Amino acid sequence: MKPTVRFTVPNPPIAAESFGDESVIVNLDHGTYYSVRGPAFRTWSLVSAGVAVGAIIDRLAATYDAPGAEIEAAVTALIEELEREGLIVRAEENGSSAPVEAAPRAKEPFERPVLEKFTDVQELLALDPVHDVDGTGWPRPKDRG
Amino acid sequence: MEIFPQVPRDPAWRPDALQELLLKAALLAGPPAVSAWRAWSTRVDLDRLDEGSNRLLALVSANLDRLGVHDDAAGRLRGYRRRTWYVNQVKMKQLEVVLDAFAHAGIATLILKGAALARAFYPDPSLRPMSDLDILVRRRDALRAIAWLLDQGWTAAERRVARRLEVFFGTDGDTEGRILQREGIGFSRGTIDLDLHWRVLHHRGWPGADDPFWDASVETTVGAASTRMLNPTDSLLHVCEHGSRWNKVPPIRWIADALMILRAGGTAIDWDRLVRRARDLQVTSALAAMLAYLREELDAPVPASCLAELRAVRATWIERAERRTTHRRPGELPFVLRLWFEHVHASRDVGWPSTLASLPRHLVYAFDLRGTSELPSFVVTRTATRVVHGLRG
Repeated sequence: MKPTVRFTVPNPPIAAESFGDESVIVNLDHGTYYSVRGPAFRTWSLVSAGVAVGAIIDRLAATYDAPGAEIEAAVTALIEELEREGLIVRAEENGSSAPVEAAPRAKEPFERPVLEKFTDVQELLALDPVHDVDGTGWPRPKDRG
Repeated sequence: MEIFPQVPRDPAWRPDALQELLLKAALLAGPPAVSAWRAWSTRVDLDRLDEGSNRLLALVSANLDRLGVHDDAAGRLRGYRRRTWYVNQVKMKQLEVVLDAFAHAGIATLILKGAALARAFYPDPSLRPMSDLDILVRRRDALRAIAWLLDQGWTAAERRVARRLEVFFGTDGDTEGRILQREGIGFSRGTIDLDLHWRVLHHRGWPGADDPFWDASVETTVGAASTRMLNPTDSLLHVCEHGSRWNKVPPIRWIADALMILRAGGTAIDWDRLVRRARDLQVTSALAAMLAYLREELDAPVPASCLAELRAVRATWIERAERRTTHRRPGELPFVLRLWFEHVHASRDVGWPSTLASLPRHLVYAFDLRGTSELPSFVVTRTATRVVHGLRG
């Protein structure tokens, strides 16, 4: 993927919202629910703001304590997944016009960014957000084992 | 001598002590909110929460995040907020489809309750859970709106209404008359519930009762669909009137809704209009008590002059009687008495002879009987059932 490629969020049908250090994304055509946290949250925040891929990789490399190649591979894989899921589409213009926030002083440990996906709308709606969930809350069910 | 029971000391709209703590944790700023949360969370098990309190959790979550309070419940509270956002998104998409179809059919719509309040008055739509989609149409358009919903696979949530619509809708005038006697019909399709209304307030069914609401409503959009909603003043009136009635889910959410309208609506509230409309719709006494509660307990910006004007209105006997009944759970009053109030209120301006003459038909429709000949045996059976239930405790 070229470092100058930028993306936009097709709204509708995609809607997204941030809750602290997590973003949730929904495809309103079929109700599929997605969640991104940690490095995935940071990647989503930047890519959905129209920042070019190269700038996103630079930003995460400045934030996380991991080899640049590992971060580049992981971020590129996540962005490709976001594109495959239809959550982002390529913007017509390349470049990096969106501002990027300052990097933190101390680097954080890096974990492979993950796009969590919940496809069963009925199950999502049936899951009681108070009683049936783990400590991180809906939509992650309580371990019944 | 008063022949009706007194207004309950704790009417349905008033939260209990624990609910009040949760409301303060959700709605106040700074230390009062934090101390309310601490007091509430040490006394309440989140797993055993009443549904009315449940509906406040998204607001609580956002307020605690804002105040920097992070405890064991934070994850679940934030999850509740995520779910609220998600469900609202899914429901608003459905609402957009229905509103768009109605617009293309020339049916004017006005959105009520959650769909309107969450977007217009809450700082973030994820803070206000939506249960049903509430759409108001004019009474003259109601049958066309119902026909479209049925055609699209929506079914009436109430079984006897669903049966009647399935068998008779569009085939006989009697069914249409029975339907229009109602204030609306609840529909469902899949996991989505939709309430189609053709009256804004309960029992205010006299000709032209809703015209001022429509005339002063404001344009809004849901996705790409154009619709209307009540202006801030009428929204406040509607939220309070709706919240004043007994509901199996404690209706305490009216407090959050009203406060959000007051905060966001600010100077847009026309207090003179509020008093005028409350007087016309005969809801002054309950409104005065509820607004006074907001002002005293939550420091809401309700002018003292408005309260004084509302309190100065001498409530009509039917308003007083209604206030004594609608705050109570069904069954606490004889059902015929309740229906009588409803009927008299809805028959305003037609005169007593017409009111009395149309009562049998009102009862036949209310109980879904075939005709007036069934009324005596129905009333005797129903009363006997109530008496037996009462004796059994």
